[in-house]
Parts: sequence; structure tokens; C-alpha cells
Amino acid sequence: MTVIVVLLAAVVALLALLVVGLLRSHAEILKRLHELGAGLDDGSATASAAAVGAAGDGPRPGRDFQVMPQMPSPPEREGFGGVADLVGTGPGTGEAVSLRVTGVEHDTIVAFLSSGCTTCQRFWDAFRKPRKLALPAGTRLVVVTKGAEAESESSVAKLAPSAFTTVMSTQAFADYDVPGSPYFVQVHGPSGRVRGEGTGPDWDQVRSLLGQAGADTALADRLAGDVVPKPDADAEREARIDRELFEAGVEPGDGSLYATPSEPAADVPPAAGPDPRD
Amino acid sequence: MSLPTATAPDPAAERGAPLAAAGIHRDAPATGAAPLGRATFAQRVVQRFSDALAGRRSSRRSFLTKTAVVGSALAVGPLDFILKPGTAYGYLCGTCTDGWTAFCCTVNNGRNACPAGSFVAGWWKADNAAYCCGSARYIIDCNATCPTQCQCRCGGNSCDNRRTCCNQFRYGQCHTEIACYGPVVCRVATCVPPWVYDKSCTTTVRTDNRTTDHGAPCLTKDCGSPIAKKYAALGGPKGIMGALVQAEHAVGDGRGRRARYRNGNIYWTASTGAREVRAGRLSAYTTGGGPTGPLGYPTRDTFTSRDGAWLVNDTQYGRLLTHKSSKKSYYLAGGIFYKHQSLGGLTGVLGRPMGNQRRAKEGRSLCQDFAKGRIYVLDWNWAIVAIHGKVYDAHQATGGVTGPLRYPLADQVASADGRGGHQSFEGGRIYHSGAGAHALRGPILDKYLADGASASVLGYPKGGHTKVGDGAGEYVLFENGGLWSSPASGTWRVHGRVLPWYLARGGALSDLGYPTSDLGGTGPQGRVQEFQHGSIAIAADGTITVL
Amino acid sequence: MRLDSHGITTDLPAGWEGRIALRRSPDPAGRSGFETRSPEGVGPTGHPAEAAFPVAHLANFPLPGDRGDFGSGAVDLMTAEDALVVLAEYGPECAGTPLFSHRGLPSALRPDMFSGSALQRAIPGQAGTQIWCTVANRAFCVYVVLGRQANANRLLPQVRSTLSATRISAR
Repeated sequence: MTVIVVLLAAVVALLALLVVGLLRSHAEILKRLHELGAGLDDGSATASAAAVGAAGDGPRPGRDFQVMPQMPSPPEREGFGGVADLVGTGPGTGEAVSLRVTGVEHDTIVAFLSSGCTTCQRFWDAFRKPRKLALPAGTRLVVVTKGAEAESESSVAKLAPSAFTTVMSTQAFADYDVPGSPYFVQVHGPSGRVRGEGTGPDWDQVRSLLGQAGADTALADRLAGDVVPKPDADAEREARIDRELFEAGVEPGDGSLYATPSEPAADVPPAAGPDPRD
Repeated sequence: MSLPTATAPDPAAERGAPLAAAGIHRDAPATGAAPLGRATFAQRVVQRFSDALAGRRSSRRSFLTKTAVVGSALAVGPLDFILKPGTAYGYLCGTCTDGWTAFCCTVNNGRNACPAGSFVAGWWKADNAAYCCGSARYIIDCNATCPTQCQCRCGGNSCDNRRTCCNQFRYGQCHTEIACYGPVVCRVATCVPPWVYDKSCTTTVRTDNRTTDHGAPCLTKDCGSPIAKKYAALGGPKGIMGALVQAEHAVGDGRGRRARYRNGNIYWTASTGAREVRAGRLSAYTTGGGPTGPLGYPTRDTFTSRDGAWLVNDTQYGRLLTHKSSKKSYYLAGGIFYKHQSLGGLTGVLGRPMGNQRRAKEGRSLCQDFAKGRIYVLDWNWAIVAIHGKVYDAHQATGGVTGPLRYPLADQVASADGRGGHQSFEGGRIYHSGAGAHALRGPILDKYLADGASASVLGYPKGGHTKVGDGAGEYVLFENGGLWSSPASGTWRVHGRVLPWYLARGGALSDLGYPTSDLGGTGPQGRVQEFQHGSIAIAADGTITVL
Repeated sequence: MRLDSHGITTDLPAGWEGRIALRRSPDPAGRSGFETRSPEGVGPTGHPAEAAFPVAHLANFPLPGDRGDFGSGAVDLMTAEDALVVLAEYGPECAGTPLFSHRGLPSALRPDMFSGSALQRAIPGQAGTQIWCTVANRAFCVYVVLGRQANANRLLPQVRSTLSATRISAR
């Protein structure tokens, strides 16, 4: 009886240890999520969006990084008015559809396709096999074609994959200033920013490009968040050094400021040409 | 259909009046307790497990809820309903925790109608239902009248153990003059349009195809002809046959009927029943003449061969096969099919078919190729003969039916000594043994047969006919001797110790020439053998002397 | 975001999206011409006399493409923070009948109006309510599902806002 009690106590202690460990790990995960702006508090999304907005003075991830060299970056496309939610109709059903792309938890990949373009067919086929797409976790794929006035509705209905929503909307093409089909835009749901955009010959390429753009976005966000203001003492010291150099005749841009430390003056034979300091 | 007995709502005692003023007419108080009071231990465990996985932190991306529900179905549903999707009308059992309501025939003493204390309150449609032989099926909800008298519980059937009197939900197309309603007591399944079933029902349609395959053991439906029933049992338009392409019609031979579908046909006769033939096997069947050809009507639905490599349909007089990995299909009909079967079938000496029946190139037979041989049907006597193995290879090596051996006359015969056998051809014989398979013909074969063939001192041939260098004759070597033949000398045997001596001397090209006799009996000089240009004697001690 | 179809108009609040659909009536002739119909005249997708009326699905979570009229397929994906509003219209013969006697769309939804049993299919944790009403002489069932009953106080303001922003115009 005593043995059983002791054994049970040991098991309980072990389980308690496990629970504590799990809770600690959970806390650590929550902390990391918060740092990434995906915290669980209602305020955290707003805070992270604000933080991102504050970093807008710096590089704009997904906008200033050219995803495909041959595609112009969005800032260069005059007609781009910013990410917009999608409103249109379902193909073949006449269903009125409105889809949220901004201000939502999930990211959205908007795939602009058409029923007639040859390259688009590869994407229509790929979207029929949702498990093989390996979409990033928490990402929604939406297919957009132009409206019935510019597209064959019956053709789009035949092509539309059953696993994803297809919207016919000429307005969406205008809102996103889509240069042509196929074209893909990845939108960060909470902030409504474009994480990446571009095109490619097949889905694997596009996914790879969008994934790279997403990684760049994360890096830029982290860099922006890591900017630390200098202590006052360091700033004062730098100012004093600048004054002393200037008084000694060493102005900004002076060549002596750029001499490489690996050039020992006495051991190296003189250069063949004139001394640049003469 | 007569209207159900509806209990008029009691205005004085109408509970939930404030809710009703807001347009909410469900009977109050809500009977939302999980109906597990009478559930089995297994059901309660599964319910808790489902709640733990899905109820507290459900995620739209979590598949754990669905897994738990499937686990529930497996825990309580009879195995035959779960493991035989083609049985009956492909219905699916339900559990007490899957959230749906039981069918009326389960809880109403077998009657597929609203029980007392309930009324027809609404309906929805599920498309392409096998229960309705491929037509849409209508589910009519029987909601409890107010005040609710029943209690939320499990249906209690081993298959349709769904809940009863739990879900306070109404579809609302029927009896809209009755505002107050209790929970759904049970569901009526019908192929009759609801507005025909109950005159109070309007034609406003609500659709939910997730219930298409819901069923219960007490739900049965006669779907018409044997072909129609078969089609329904195979899942109807959503099943393996796919959508109907051509309605059922007579084949035209006075015996059978056929219906065409996207993925195959279903054939029926009184003696063979309704059988499906699909995909590549249907193409092979058509190539082989279909039901009015040598194959006859199919007698068995698609099944898998024992080794798992083939999909097969049996017919009255043959078989249809599809090789799974190569996806090639063949037919075996009539005598060829029976011969193949007698020789072990797919795993026998002939192996798998490599093509369908065809006319042999020189036009005197039908034949069919197999991996390790061929079967011929001879035109002149309808004999069905198989060649296989080493004999087949040797026959092919001499030119097959266009070579000197021409057609086989009979199957292989095994020798009495168990060491080999032979097969007879129009132009000779092929003997096979451990020494290989070799053809014999002409005078050499005649002499071999006269001497006793493989039972003679010679044994089995070790090689084929070989021309002698002088062009005058030929010889064949056997295990224990040889036969030499030329028009001038005749055909004679050299064997025993004489053979190696003769061969070492140069054989027929030696100074002795061709033999002109067999080795004779014992004489004063020993045993003597005559040759064209001399004779030899072999003494008792084995010494060979040229006389 | 504005959604407008079949006389149903709604300005969806932030984070909400929607669909307004009208199912196609069964083709009397059958799509392939070879479809068999039952003796009762019912084909694979129903009877030609069935009357389809628009159904709106409004939600604060991504709606899947395949949904039953009362949200099956979508409710299976709901989390504790999600809400679904279904506006299902019925035929004109239903307008004003006792079941549909309430006039106007519901505006003052309260947590006590919801129940875990008032669902098309009971899903643990979820709660629903059906409100039957007549608006602009059109009969509707408003079916609201909350992903988690305990979150009603947090979810209902969004639902009320969505319904307040919805207008039904006469046919």
C-alpha cells in the first residue's frame, strides 16, 4: 500500500513537472508571437500594426523589393490604389460575393487569372489539388477573374476550383492595377499591406517568390524594431570628436578618414605613381 | 398524405412569449442537454473526447473535430455498414454525437412518418440520392408540438443512433400557421415532393447535400429494375458508374438488357443478374464482341485477382482483365479461356495475356499470345493447343508455324521417366529435358522413335539437327549417343564408347564415313559396327579396332 | 463593404464578408437530356416546381465555397470568435403568417435568445437562434450562429451592427 502511494506520488510529481514545463514553453511562444505582432490580446494586433506603420519611413517590405525583376514594383504602377477588399460575383451561380482581405487575421493570396491565357491553365490545374499547394499556414487563396462583361462565365465556372473561392470582378483588377494574368498579390491580413506580388510560370515558382518576399518582410520588420537610440553620452562624445577633427583641418570626406588600417606606411614600398596626398 | 395530428398551441400557457414577440418561436425552456443520459459508456467517452478536442478551442483549421466524429461513427456503427460502401444504397449510420436527428422509422416503431406529439414543420432537399435511385431526396422534419412533451435522448438504434427531440431548429416551409415549435423529434425520408406529401408545405426549397447519404436500416426503397437497383447500390450518379449516359434498353438478342453510364455499362439477364463492366474491361469486352459474342454476358462484378495485380470480370464464357500497373485490358474467350485456365491461369505455365485473340499471320488458326507461350485454335479441326516454356522458345527459334515444324498437333506430353517430355508438330517433334528443348524431324526422328525415343539408349537430344561438313548428311547428338543420317547411308545410331572415339576420329568426315548400321551383337571379334568405308569392332574390354 | 443582390443590401462592418446566392432551379429537361426522373417527376437535383429564394450568408470569418443553405460547411469551421448570420427568404405565401408574424429584421439580439440546441446540427460550444420575420412583404428566417455561446457579449455587437446595416427592399 505504501509502495503504491509512493509510486502515485512520483507519477503526480512527474506530471506536475511536465505541466509546468508546458506552461513555460507556452508562455515563451506567446512572448515570441507578441514580438512578431501576432499576440492574442485584442490590443496586440493594433499595436503591431501601429509599429509597422511607424516603420513606414524605412524600406517598405514587399513594395520596394522587386519580386520579379521584369515586373515593375508597385510604387511605379501609377494605377495602384492600395489593397482593397474583393466584391464581385461567383462564376456560373450569380452569387454576390464580398471577401475581406484587410483587417482580418489571415493573410490572403489573391490570384488574378483568366480563362483564356495559356499560362493561367497551369494555375487552374494546380488549384484543383489544394493539399499539394503547400499554402503558408493561416493563408487564404482567392482566385479573381474579370467580370462577366470581359470573361466567359461558363468557362470560368468550369475552371473554378472547388476548394477555393473564385470571384469575377473587373473592379478588383482595376483596384490592384493588375498588369496581366496570371498575377499574384499576397496581403497581410491584419495590416492590409502587400507582403509580396509578382508572377511566374507555375505555382511552385510563385509560392517560392511570395515566400521570399514574406521572409524579407519579416526581416525588415525585425530590423525596424531593433533600432535603438544612442545613449546621450555617446552622442556628446561623437560631437566633440567631430569638432576637434574639423579644427584640425579634417573635414567630412577627407581622404585620411578612409585609409585602410592594413596599409603599414613603413614596410610597403612606395607606390609607382605620385602620392595622392601631394 | 393526411395532415399530422397537431396539438393547437395553448395561448394561456405559451411559454417564451417575450422571445416570440422577437420572432423566436422555439418552445422554451430550451432542451439543450446533451442526450447522453441513456448513452452507452463508449458513446459517453467519445462525446467527452470530442468535446475536449473540438469544443473548447475549436479552430477552423483543425481536423480533430472531424476525426472525433468519424471515431464516434466507427465506435458505434456496425462494421458492415461502414466497411461496405456499396451495400444497399450506400447509407451511412449516425451517432448520438454527430448532431443530427434520427429518422422517424427508427423511433416511431418502423413508421417513416411523424409520430404523435409532432407535426410536419419543414423540409430540405439533398441531391443525387441513392436512396431515391439517383433522384433528389427530401427530408421532412417532424418538430414537437408545444408544449414539448418529449425528452432529448439518443435514438437507440445500433446504426441510426442519432438524437431525438434535441435540436430546436425548424426549416419552416410547412404549417406556417403554427408558430410555436419544439425540437425535431425525427426526420421523414421521402422521394415524394414535400408539397405532395403534406399539403401545408410550400415549394420554397432549402438544400443541404451533407445529408445525402444519411440512412437507417429501416429505410428501404425499391428503385425499379434490376439495373436501376444495381446502379443505386453502386452509389448512383456519385458512385463508381457515374452519370447515366443512355437509359436502359434491350440488347436485342431477346435475352438481356443494358444501360450505359459515364464509367461503364450494366448488363442484365435473368440468369446472370445485373453486372457492371467498367473502364478498360468494357473496351476489351466490346472488342471481344460484347454480350452477343463469344464472351456472353458478364456474370460477376469487378473483383481483384488473388495476387492483386489484375482487375477482373467474369463472363458466361470467358473473362475480362485489366492489368493494374500497365492499365492494359484483355479478354479471354471460349476455348482459349478454358485452355488457359486448365494450365494454371494467370499464374500458370502460360502466364498473363499479352494481347487479345487474333488470326495467325499465315491464316490457318486463331491464336492468343501470353507471356510464356501461345494458344492456337486450329481451323481444320478446332483443336485448341498450347505451346509454352522451352518448347515454345524452340518452336519460335525454328520459325514457328511458318518454319519446318509448322503447327502443334497436341499439347505437351510428359515422359514416363519424369525427366522431360515432347510435343508433336505437323513437321516433327520437340523434346525437352534438362538438356534443353530440341526439334527432331525427318529420318532422324523416325529412327529415334523406332529405337524407343527418350527411353532408348540415346536418351534426350542435346542439340538440334547439325549438317555434316560434306553437305551430304546431318546428325543429332543425344545424351548418350548420336544419330547420323544421309540419303546414301541411311540413318544409324552411334552410341556408348564408340561415340567419343568416332567423334575424335572426325565423325562422318573421317576415313570411316557415315555409319551404315547400328552396333551389332557380340561376335568373335566383339561387337561390330559398319561404316561406309570400313567397320569397327569393340572388344569386351572396350578396345575399339578398325577392321 | 457593400453587398447588394436580389433586393438584399448590407454594409458589412470591418472584418465581415458575405455571399448572397440564389440556387438554380432543377432543369426540367435534365442537363444531358438522358437524366431519368422518378415517377413523381423528381430529377437528380430536384423537382421543377421547387421555388428557390435568395439566401445571404454574412460572417466574420472566411466562408467556404460549399455551404448548405443554413450554413453547414461553414459552421464546421467556426472558432470561438466567429459569428454567422443567415438570411434565408421564403415564398410570398409565407409572408405575414403566424410563424413569420414579426415585422422587420431583428435588431436587439440578446445572449438569452441563443441556445446550444437551437442549431441545425448541434456542435459543442456553439449556440444559435432563428428569428422568423416579414420584411417589405418578404418572409425571412434570420439564423444566427455564434462560435461560442460564452462569447455572446463580445460577438453580438458585431451581429447587431451587421443586421442594422442590412436593408430588404420589396420585390
